[in-house]
Amino acid sequence: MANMLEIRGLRAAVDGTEILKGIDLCMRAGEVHAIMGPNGSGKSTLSYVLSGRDGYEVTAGSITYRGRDLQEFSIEERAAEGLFLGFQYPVELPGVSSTTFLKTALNAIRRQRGEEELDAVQFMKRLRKQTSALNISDDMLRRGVNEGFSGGEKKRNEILQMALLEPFLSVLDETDSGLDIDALKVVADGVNALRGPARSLLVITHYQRLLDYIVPDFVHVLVEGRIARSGDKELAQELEKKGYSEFLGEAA
Amino acid sequence: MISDETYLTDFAGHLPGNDLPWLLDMRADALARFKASGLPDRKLEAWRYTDLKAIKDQLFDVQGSPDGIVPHALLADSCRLIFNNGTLFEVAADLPSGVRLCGMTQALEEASEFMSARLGQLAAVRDLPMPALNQAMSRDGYVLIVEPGIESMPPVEVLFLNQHGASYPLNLVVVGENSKATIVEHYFGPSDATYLTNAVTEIQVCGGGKLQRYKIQQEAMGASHIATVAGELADNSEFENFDLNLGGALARSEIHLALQGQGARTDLNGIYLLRGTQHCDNTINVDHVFGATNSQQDYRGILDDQAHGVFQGKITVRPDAQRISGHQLNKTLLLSERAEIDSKPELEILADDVKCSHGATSGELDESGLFYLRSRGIPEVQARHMLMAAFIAETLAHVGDETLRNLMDQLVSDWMTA
Repeated sequence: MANMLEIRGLRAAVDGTEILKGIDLCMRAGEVHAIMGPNGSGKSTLSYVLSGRDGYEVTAGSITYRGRDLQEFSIEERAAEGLFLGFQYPVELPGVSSTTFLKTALNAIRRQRGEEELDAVQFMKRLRKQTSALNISDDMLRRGVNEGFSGGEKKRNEILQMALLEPFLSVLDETDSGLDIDALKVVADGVNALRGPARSLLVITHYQRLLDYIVPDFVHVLVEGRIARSGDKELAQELEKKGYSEFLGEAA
Repeated sequence: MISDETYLTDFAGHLPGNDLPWLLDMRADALARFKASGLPDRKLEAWRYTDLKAIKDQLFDVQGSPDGIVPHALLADSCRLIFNNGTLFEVAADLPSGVRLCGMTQALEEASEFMSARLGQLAAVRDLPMPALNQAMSRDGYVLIVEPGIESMPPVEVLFLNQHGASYPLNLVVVGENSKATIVEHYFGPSDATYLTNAVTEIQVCGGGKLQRYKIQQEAMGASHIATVAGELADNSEFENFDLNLGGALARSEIHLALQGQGARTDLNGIYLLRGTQHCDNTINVDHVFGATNSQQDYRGILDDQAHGVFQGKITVRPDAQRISGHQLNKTLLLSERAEIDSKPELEILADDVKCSHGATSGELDESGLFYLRSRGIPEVQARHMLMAAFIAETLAHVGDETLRNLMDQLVSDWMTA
């Protein structure tokens, strides 16, 4: 299998403070990796570095995505190349209609890929296919993007976007936070429906709970900007029992 | 400054209605009032943020001869009046009986008595120097008189094409009891022109009447635009106003409204989109004279480069005006560190059973929103436009007339992509 993502010696800083202190990670196509770690260990920073957010400066190392240097791409180009970030806290955009937003995003990506843009009818057909499985109401689509959405609605909306944009690599940042067990299942089912040999998932989470539903091939423990240990899904269960204290001790 | 003698012999003597003693008196009195106060300067509280020095030498440069550029209209099915440099140039109106739409000259000839009772009578603007100068200098304007009980008529579109010198349109709108009217005032000029517009629109909406007024201000980028709306609303009448401010180097738009009768309501909204060194001032004065009246203001702007926006909004509630509501909102998006907004809300409440609020915010485009859109593949420029459009969408939604709302939406996106 080809490498989806290869991170080598990655260091990154925010406002001059180094947060990521040398990360190595290799993901092949079709694999699901989980990154776990205590608060402040750099999990969200890693997701923002991968998506190219301003203010997240790579100071050393390399990120190779599908054989190319990821840093050569702007934020929107990364999306067009098939990289997707599921936000921990999706922003509310009052005044930007949900449907218009989804159509604009899908067509922007298609345009950048040299594909024909979808007209309203073609788009609505695709949208309808996804909304019922994710329990997304017409009312949600009529409102502004995430406007007044509950925590669960926001996360379902993230998965809807993921399903429409059909990314190769999805980075899901704390997708489980703020969800009750029913909402968690809906989201996990949505994610699992998108799994396949050509797609990879990087699931960032604080708790093991989500990994009962989205079962990872590999688990990595991120502590103070470094991967302190890697293992299989058993590692997640071990962390759930023991917590992160031993790693915090090691790092100190 | 022209002297009294030259004003009367060389200028006022050639204005329409120069055989009407009441009008000559009104003009002479207006000139005297302007001379007494002079051009407003920044020492006056009402003019603290807007400097009129730049127009000082243009005030009496009235030339006014139309030179025949035919502008195109915004609306397909409107009744249309076109003014060139302040003088009526073309009328295209097919109106139901009971509606009079004409230029000031014709109105003075045909309805002198009616005009003498209405023109220049509104107390709110009597002491303001710029409307006084307008009264003294105006040679023309549009007059719309809608008799009572006319519920449907085509929209009225008035085009003010200005090219050089100073022009002083003086307009009068009277909407009779239970009648409805829609007016679009469109101000514009050739892109490289420098000129001054100082317009006044006097408005009376009688009991149960409804007036929608939309102003599209697309003056030349080197021009100055000063416009004053003065209105009185009778019981259960409605006045909706929307100002779209796009043009001009210097613009000041004043609205003075008195809610004179129980149940009168007004909805005053506007958008200002400025770049370069443009200056745009919206000054609003709503006077709740009577109880059970309500007013609402929502003004939003986007400022780029070194543009300067001003919003001054005053709500007055008289001692006996109970059960009123008055709300005011001003929000500005600053796209550049050198852009500036001065926002001054003012409430003067002398009654106790009132619901009043005001809010003013200014800030940059939301970085997290921009990142969110770009992370979904939307190019940065397009993402910025989406957020800007979203910022003013709520204000634009107040435009009651759908055709006008779509038109303004288009003008806003044209501005963003320009």
